Amino acid sequence: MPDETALSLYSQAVRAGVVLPALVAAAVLLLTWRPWRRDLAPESTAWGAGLALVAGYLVGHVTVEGGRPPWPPREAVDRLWYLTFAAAALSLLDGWRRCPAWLCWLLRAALWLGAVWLLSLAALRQSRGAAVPMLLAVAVAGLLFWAALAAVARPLPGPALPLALLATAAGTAVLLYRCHTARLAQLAGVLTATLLPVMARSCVRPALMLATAPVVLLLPGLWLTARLYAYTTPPTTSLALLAAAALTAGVGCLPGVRRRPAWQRNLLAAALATLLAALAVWQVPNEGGVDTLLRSGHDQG
Amino acid sequence: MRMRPLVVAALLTALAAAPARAADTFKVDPVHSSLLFRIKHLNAGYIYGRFNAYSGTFAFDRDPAQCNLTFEVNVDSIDTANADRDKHLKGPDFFNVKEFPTASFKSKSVKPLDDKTYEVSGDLTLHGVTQPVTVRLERVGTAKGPRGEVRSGIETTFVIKRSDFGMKTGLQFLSDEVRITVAVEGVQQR
Repeated sequence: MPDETALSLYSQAVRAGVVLPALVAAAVLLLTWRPWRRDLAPESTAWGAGLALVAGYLVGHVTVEGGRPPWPPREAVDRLWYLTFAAAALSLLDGWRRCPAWLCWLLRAALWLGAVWLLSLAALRQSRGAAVPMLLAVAVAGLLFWAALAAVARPLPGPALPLALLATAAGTAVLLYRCHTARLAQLAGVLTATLLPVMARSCVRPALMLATAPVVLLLPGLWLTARLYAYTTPPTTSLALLAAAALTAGVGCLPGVRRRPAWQRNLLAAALATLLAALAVWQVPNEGGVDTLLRSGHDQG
Repeated sequence: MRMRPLVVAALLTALAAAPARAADTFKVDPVHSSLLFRIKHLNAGYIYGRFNAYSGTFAFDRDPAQCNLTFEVNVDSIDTANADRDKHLKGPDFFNVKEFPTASFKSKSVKPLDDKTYEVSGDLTLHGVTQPVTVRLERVGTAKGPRGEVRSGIETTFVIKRSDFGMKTGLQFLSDEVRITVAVEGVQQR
């Protein structure tokens, strides 16, 4: 017999962390769609997708957390919320075709390096500098990830990238849940929910190009936060597999695959991303995650 | 005999110039102390937990100005008799121990209510948030230990709202109110 209390709690969590952010993202996408401009260049649609992701996440974060994060921010998770506004600004730049590439990359580097620093403040303080080499590696890896994602996003407007990111974000949510942090898992769930309408919108014309800033800030931002502060540390292998899952949309550019119909390329990207995300989750044994707060002793025995 | 008034005057001057007697300070003995908390689960029952590592000092006297109490807790020592649950509690969902490794209390004023009871006001810092709290504290007793050391005990129970300290995760299934019991034995410092 199902536990009614647990079911009602889960349905509350779904309403707050999935339905609301998805609706907000869908509303922003509708407002920025301009369906009468079927000839729009994909780059011109990027800002709408970026703003949808940011708006959905900001609202979902507040709902899940039960209020706006304090100012000044106290925890890494609070800082991530405020950094999302900067990602919104960069999303607008993604849609501005006349923005010089060097300026775009300068601002992207500033956002990511700033994010790494702000998210790791406590870890830096407590490790007395010992964490610096690891964080430098994270900073470089994050920039490489962003470069790869931008390289995939530009020639592949359409659902391939949102599908791959959907699988990655969902995999992140499950992984973090297994790492004993329902809070970060829910925030990854919020990102997954906001990607749903983006994915749906990307199936119709004018073709949608994804602004990369919100995704690069939020996905690796959550990975880094979990890596630094969760009590079951997500393994490096898992995080690398999730990063690879996000980039599987790129298989559509490979020789031999490029000439296949779009639906086949998208399906292949989605299948590969799901497989890699599942492998990432599989690296962490299922010890019950955060269920210990809800399950009975009999269940655990 | 002519010297006597001078000696008395000198003694009186010395006494007047001497600082007021400081209250005896006791250092917390963690072996004979307990720091417990109680939280309601699913509105159905209570779960108890404890912290195993803490330190502090206290001093109580008839003169309120001589009284003080400081307490610091290593939050990583949380223990609810379930390793999985402890990992969850230490993570970002609740105490976020890696960002906020310690909790502390520092008294700001102590008001004697009777011979054994005091009202202690001070700042409680938990999860990086500092909030003023006022607790009613009982002095349990004072006795000599086996090595001749003087020991004194205090106890207080008070309730906080964890949301006041930015811990809002799972308010649907774990109560906002947490009852905290601090029962401490201290050894007099020489």
